[in-house]
Amino acid sequence: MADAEIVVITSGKGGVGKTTTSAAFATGLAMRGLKTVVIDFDVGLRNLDLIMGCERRVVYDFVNVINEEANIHQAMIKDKRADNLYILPASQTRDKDALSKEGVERVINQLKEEFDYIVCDSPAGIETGAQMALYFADKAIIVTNPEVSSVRDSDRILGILSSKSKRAEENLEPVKEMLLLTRYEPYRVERGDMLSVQDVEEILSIPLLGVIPESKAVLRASNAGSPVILDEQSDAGQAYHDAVSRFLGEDKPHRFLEIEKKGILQRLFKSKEREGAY
Amino acid sequence: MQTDEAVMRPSTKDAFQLKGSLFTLTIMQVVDLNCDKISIQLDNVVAGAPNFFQQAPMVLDFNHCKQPPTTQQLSSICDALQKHNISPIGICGDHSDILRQAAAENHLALFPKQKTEKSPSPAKTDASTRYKTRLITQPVRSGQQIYAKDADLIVTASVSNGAEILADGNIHIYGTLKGRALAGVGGDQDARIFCQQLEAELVSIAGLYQLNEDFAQKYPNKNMQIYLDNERLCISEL
Ligand SMILES: Nc1ncnc2c1ncn2[C@@H]1O[C@H](COP(=O)(O)OP(=O)(O)OP(=O)(O)O)[C@@H](O)[C@H]1O
Ligand SMILES: [Mg+2]
Repeated sequence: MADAEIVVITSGKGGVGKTTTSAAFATGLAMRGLKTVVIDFDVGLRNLDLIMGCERRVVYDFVNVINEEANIHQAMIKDKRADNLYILPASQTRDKDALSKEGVERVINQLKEEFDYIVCDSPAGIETGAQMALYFADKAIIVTNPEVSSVRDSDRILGILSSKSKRAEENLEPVKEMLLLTRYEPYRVERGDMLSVQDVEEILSIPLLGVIPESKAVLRASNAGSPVILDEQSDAGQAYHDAVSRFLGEDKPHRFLEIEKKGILQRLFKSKEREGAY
Repeated sequence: MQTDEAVMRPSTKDAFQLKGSLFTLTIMQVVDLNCDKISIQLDNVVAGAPNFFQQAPMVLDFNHCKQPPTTQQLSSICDALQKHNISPIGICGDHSDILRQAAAENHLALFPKQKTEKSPSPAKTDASTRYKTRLITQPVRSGQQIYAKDADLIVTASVSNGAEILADGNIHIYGTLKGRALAGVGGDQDARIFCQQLEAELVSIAGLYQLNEDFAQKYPNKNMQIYLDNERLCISEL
């Protein structure tokens, strides 16, 4: 099998949707028959296994593998829903510096031979943890919310990608960067409370991979421990599917950019749903 | 408004009004005070371009002579010029007392020392030829700093908010400048910043800087340059 492609999901700013995206993206790739492993680099927090609904099956973790306390096959958890999907969870107890570059490289090289895609869920920030997650990347999905501070932090992480990644340090072809705008709310853009897709594209000047709308389905999915991409009725689920298709080279028009024109029935249904959610 | 106009218009009592203006003048740099030599050379020059010198005003510069002309010498030179249909109007350059007197007695004006003449000092010519070029082809992102030491800096992308670029020489940005740009950081006052769109947080030349909030206006979609004029930071369209 050919070498896996390494994709980092990163943002700079915290809480913008990296883990949600990592879970959805990895699942989406696996659903298309691509053998995928998703690694939680957020040592100390460990969120990915919760969102993927496999927290009870965690025995060994990424740090155990790096410290050679367990082998990679003992630590990886096979996803119950998608055949080609594996999860390498983070340690909840270790501190942030538990990952060494050499250790990460060894694990990644081993995974490269078995998988088509290695998806790395980065911790927030631009320091060691985030730099470790992006160091070996071939592609980077920059998760950004349409607000100034998130865009600024994405700009910073792009700077690090172009100066501190392995590809930058070794003068190889640069990491391919893509923008994923999440928690997008067209009506707030129209009101001027949020930056528009065009604003963010203009500031970051990297290609747009997709726009994920703000959606109740995301919270519902994470409570259920099932990646939102599996909720194929939901707007966010469909938007993630589109993004995965574009990532694989398909040409898909962008959706969910305009304010939805609701019929009276839909509106009633929506308000019911809202009551239920709180 | 009305009062202003009243002041500017000549009142009916006045015989004339004064106005400021700028003219391009030809300067004759005299290196040899020998009037015969000057006459012969004038013959040749005027023969080459007779129309150009019709009643042409001429400013005389004696800075390249070993000593300034006496009143008598200056008078002969003026005569030679007038014979060739050229009107000597004044003297420029450094004015010694002898030269001042000679000018006064020949009814010639004194032009103040010219800035353009003294500016290409040897040090600066050296500096501008010494600069290498540093080329950056990727966007300069927030938190990044690039310093082009002893060099000009060319960026073929945009410079983000929170990014900082510095150069001892000039800075050229083929994109939008949103961050900070500091040219001539080694003290070169001739350094300039050029950009395709100016939204900078700060611009600085040789340590003289201006913050965005102090910009006189916004400059949407304009090619801009920033430079020093008499130790004053100027921002202008290209
Ligand atoms: N499209 C969306 N619509 C609504 N809520 C969302 C959306 N995307 C993410 N969220 C919510 O935002 C919160 C943060 O999401 P997530 O944990 O994926 O972010 P993160 O970037 O991984 O955070 P951290 O930096 O802490 O790792 C969660 O509560 C999640 O449910
Ligand atoms: Mg996370």
